[in-house]
This record gives sequence, C-alpha cells and structure tokens, in this order.
Amino acid sequence: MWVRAWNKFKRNKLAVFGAVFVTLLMLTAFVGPYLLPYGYDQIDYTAVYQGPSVKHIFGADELGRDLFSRLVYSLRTAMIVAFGSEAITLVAGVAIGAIAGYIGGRTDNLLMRFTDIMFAFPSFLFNVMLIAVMGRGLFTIFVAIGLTSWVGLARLVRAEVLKIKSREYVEAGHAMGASNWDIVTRYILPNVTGPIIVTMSFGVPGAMMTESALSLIGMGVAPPAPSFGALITAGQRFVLSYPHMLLWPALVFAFTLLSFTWLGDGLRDAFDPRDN
Amino acid sequence: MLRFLAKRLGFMLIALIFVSLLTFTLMHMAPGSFLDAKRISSGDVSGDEQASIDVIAEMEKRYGLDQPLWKQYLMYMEGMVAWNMGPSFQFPQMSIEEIIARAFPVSVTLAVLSVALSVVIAVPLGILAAVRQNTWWDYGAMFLSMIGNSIPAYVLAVFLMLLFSLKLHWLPTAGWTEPKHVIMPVLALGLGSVGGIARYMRTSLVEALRQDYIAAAWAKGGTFNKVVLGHALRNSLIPLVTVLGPQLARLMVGTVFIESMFRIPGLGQYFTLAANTRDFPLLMTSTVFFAFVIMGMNLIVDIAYGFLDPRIRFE
Repeated sequence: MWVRAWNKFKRNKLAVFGAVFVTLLMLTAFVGPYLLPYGYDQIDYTAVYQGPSVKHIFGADELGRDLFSRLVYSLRTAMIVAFGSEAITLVAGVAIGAIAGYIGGRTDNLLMRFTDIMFAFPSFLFNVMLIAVMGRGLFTIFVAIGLTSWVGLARLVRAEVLKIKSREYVEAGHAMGASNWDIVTRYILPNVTGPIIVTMSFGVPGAMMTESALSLIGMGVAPPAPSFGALITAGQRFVLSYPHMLLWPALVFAFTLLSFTWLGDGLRDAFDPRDN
Repeated sequence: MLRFLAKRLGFMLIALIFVSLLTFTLMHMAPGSFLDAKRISSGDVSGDEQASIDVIAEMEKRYGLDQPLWKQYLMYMEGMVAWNMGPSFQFPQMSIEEIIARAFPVSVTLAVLSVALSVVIAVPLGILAAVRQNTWWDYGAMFLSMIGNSIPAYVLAVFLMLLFSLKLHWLPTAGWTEPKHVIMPVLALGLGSVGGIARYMRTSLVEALRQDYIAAAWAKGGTFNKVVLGHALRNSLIPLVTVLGPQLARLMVGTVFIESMFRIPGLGQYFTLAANTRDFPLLMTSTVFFAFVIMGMNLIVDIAYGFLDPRIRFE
C-alpha cells in the first residue's frame, strides 16, 4: 500500500510542490524564530508604518514592529495550533470510532448519537465558548479546536472498522485467540491508516483557518503575540494608507493554506484504492 | 413521511436542548461575568460602596441572577420558547428578541445573496466543465474550486478590499448603510462557494450524460439545447440541493467573520460581542438560535430532496 501510494504521489506535480512548500513552511515556523533579526514584539520607532525596505523586508506595522518576524511567528502559532488540535482529533476520533465500530450494539448507538449531536452543533460557536471559559492562549485554542473537530474522523473510522471487522483474516485472528485490543490495533487499524492520514492532512489547514478566524474576532492568542487573523484585522484598519500591512499577511496565509491543500489532495489521490 | 419528520424534529429538539445545556454550563464555568466588570466600573465612578452594591443587587434581581442555576436555565428556555427573552446585559434598553429581529435579517440578506451569486456563477461553469471535459474550462473550474475550498472568505475579502477599495477606489472598506456596502461582503462569501458547487454540478451532469436515455436522445437527433439543457441538466440539478444546505450553514458561520470585518450589524456581530463581554442572555440565545437555524436548514434540504427525487424514501 505504501509503495503504491508513494509512487502515485511522486507523479502528482502539484502534490510534490505542496509537500516541498509544507516542509519549507514548517522549517520556517519552527527554526525561523531563532534566526530572525527582530523579535515579534520588538519596536523600531524609525520604521513605524514603513513599507518594505532592506531593513524590514515586508515593512513594519503601526508600532514599528517587523512584519516579517510577526508573520514567521504567526506561522508558528498556526502550526502549533493545527498540529496540537490534530493530535487531539486523532486520539479522540480513532478511539471513539474504533470503539463504536468494533463493539457495536448499544455502545455504538450511544456514541454515534453523541457524534450526531456534536455534528449538528456548529463547531465554531462551541470553540468560541470553550475559549471564553478557558481563556485565550495557545494551549486553550488548540484544545478547543481539537475537542470540536474529531467528529468527521470518528465517523470515518467507525465505517472502516465495521467494514474490516468481518473480514476473514480478522476471524482468523479471533480463532487464534488474539485479544480484542490486538485485533483492533494490529489487525484493523493499520488498514485504516490511509483514510486517517488523508483526513488529518485536510484537518491541518482547517484548524489553521479556525485559529485565524478566532483571532479575527478577538478570541485568538492574546496580543502582542501575532496570528494571521490578528494581523489581517490590524492591517485592515490601515488598508488605504499602508496596504503592505494587509497584503503580506493575507498572501502568506493563503499560500500556507494552499500548500497544505495541494499536499492533502495528493495524499487523497495516492491513497484512493479505486483507481491506479 | 410523517414518521421521518417526527423523528428528525425529535432529534433536533434533543440536539437543541444539548446545545443549550452545554452553552449554559460553559457560560457559568467562565471566569468573570458582565456584572464583575460593572461592579468595578461603578465602584470607581461613585466611590460609594453601598450604592454600587445596591446597583448590582438591582441588576441581579432584574436578570434573575439571584435565582438558583436550574431556575435560571429554565427561565432562559421559557423565554426562548415564548419568544420573550428580556433585555441583554449589553443593551439594557433593547430586548433580545428585538436584537435578533433587527440583526438576523441582515445576516440572512448576506447569506441569501451570496448563495444566489455562487449558484448563478457556478451552474453555468459546472455545465461548461462537464460538456467540455478535460479542456481549460474544466481545469479552470476545478482550480477555482480548490482555491475556494482552501481559502476562507475573510482572506478573499482582503484581496477584494485591496482591489476595489485601494486600487480602484470603487467601494468603501466597511459599513452597512448604502447598497454599495453589500457588494464586497457578498462577493467574498459567494465566490468561495462557486468552486465547490461548480465541481458538484460537473460531476452530477457528467453522470447524467452517461445515462442511456441521453444516448437515446442524441440518437433521435436531439440538439445540444434539447439534450443537455433539457434532459440531462434537469436531473443533475437535484443533487445540487444537497450541497446547498451545508453551503448555507457554512455561510451562516462565515458571516460571523465577514460581519466583523466589514462592520455589518448582523447576528454574528452580536454573537461575537456577547462572547467578548460575557453578555450571558445574548450569548445563550444567539447560540441556540444559530444552532436552530443551521439544523432547520439541513432538515428543509433533506425534505426538499425527497420531494424532488422520488427515488429517495424518507426513513
């Protein structure tokens, strides 16, 4: 499965582009902050509102903070939130989906009704309230997003587990006396890896969108820490006089999201069992 | 049909009760309340300890905050069912039903215009992509759909703003007082869904064009207008209804940010304000109302789908 998927992935140009850019963006987000000449809250009074220059390649904001540094830190915030929330999604989604699908019966019914209700609850409203309760911070934001985004994965895992659990080799496992835990983790779940990876790869840009949307309405990371949403809100105030403050955050953010989508599309095609 | 409706309505009711309970619990777990802020500010202004205590006690009584929690919850629910929810913390002169009555039409206008816009662009685009499979039309439509799916409306809004306000000086950057103000928010919300709907339209039309009765229609010497637009399109429009439901729901949430970006006094704006200021009555009611609208829309779409396509049975 892996070899075939990799071969298919390699041939998809857009997907390889996406993978390369995502790697670069991740390096920028996690190594970049140590190489930057300015901190995200470092003020340079001589550069207030300045457009792009040699000193500040993307210009500076209303307090003279370097826009490029702020963007790198925004990227870092977005990545931490996205990967953190995806980790929660993975654990919750796989656990709930696998338990519901494998045990079945009343447990399945109960868990799936709960999932249905969570699905019907507009997750964004839930996010806003969770953050109102837990406070604005990096940690609380990814927990809030993670707690609301496992529903899709849980449904997917349940459906796959239901499909796989009646296969012959699973029966053979039962016959050989494998424990339920072994059956689920070693017989069934490895076969669901593909769909899980695909779902997660679309979850990352989704979580980034939610994070920046939250800071757009003032529920994101607390200032002065930067986030794409906060930069866009700030830039919008000065759009007619200092458009660079709005242009760069929007461009970098859009590009980040697109890279992840290309990667995700490529993975989806690569793991699609239907065609070759 | 009736059984289906009863089942769905029952589920909706349970889900709404769950939403309201969760909202209520979370609200009361949140540190700090609107009255805390009031307490500090009123204490500062008058310097008279007793007076501010009196004010707070008066407010607590007016909003029923001196009642036990379960009673408060029932009060909210009763208010919502009876459409008589009393004043909010933030706007003591206005009742919440007045706020909703004023703000909701604004959000609906935004959402409906955006859906209309995206359908008007997406359906012809999808038809072109299906008829001219694997040409630039097709790739263009698919590319648009990818962009629309991966870039949120508020980022799209930024680019529109840079184009229409900064470069062309055609449109104001924010506001909601003249017709001009409607254009950018609707474009930002609508263009995002064009790709998705076009893609769906393409798939479903391609599917329809492969059917035997289409081959028969061509064989009888049918023209493009007759075969594609007359026979195939009619059947391929039905599945489109299913995407419009989630699309509308997505738009309702999308309006929250677009409203905040363009300073539009819609329901999303009030929801954000309520969450930021701990305005419990307004937060509680706007959350439940939002959830109600979204679930209701999905139900209507499901019912409409059943009517349009007799092969679908209500279960």
